[in-house]
Amino acid sequence: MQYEVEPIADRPITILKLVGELDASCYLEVIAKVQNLYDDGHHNLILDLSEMPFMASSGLVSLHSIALIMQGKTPLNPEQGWQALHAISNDVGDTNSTLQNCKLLFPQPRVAKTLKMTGFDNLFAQFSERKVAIQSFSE
Amino acid sequence: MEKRLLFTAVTLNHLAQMRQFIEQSGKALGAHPEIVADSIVAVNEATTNIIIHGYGEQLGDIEIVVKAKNDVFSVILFDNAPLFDPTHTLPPDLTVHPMLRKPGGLGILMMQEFVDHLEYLRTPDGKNKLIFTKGGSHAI
Repeated sequence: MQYEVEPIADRPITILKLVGELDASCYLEVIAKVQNLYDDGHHNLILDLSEMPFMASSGLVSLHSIALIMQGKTPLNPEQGWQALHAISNDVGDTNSTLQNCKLLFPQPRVAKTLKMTGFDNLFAQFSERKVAIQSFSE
Repeated sequence: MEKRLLFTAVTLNHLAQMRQFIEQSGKALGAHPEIVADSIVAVNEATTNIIIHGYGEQLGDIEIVVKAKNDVFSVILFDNAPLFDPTHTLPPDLTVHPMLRKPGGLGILMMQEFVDHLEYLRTPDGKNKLIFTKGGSHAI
């Protein structure tokens, strides 16, 4: 997986583009990348998925952890590795709406299908236009 | 027509190679790219489970057979891990918000949803055999 970090000028928003395939070999690395960004003060994040054609269920674990990180909470313990899949996350915050400070841009068809199938579309707002995704942070 | 490849001493780093093999085999066999791509999502979940849960700390092999005939595309996995039938695993409760449910089980769901038919067999020599089929009379 490769990463492109793009802070938006004059806005407290950062775009993180994931380039490559998200599977069990790199899902922890993605979590760590977002954790580092959050710790560095990037608290409004757009995950650009336009160049991520494949996502396994381990990618959903990444998104689950990212949701916790972006709420300032502790993500699944990376040292537990795959066992985290079987953990129950507590203290998850508001589950009645999508995350206000982390959104998805242009998920590819199979990734979008996976998000919808698993209910993760209730967690992350999705956008097909970069401009609209950026504007959504001020709404 | 079929393509067959044995991956030995598999680790998670082989996942991309396995996906690539299925994609290239599907193309060589004339299968529809969309059907192949959907099948790859399903098969990847199974190969991941075999490596992590089946073999665990051990290194084992996975043989992949790719078949295409008319409009039916199949991928068959053979492995020597402890016997496990993923077709008898209950999917997670999707009515529960993703942050409140156990994340586990989603791979099984993806296996089932991205192909039309999933069948498990135990071979006479004691291997797991998992058959993914998409298209043809199996099409949902």
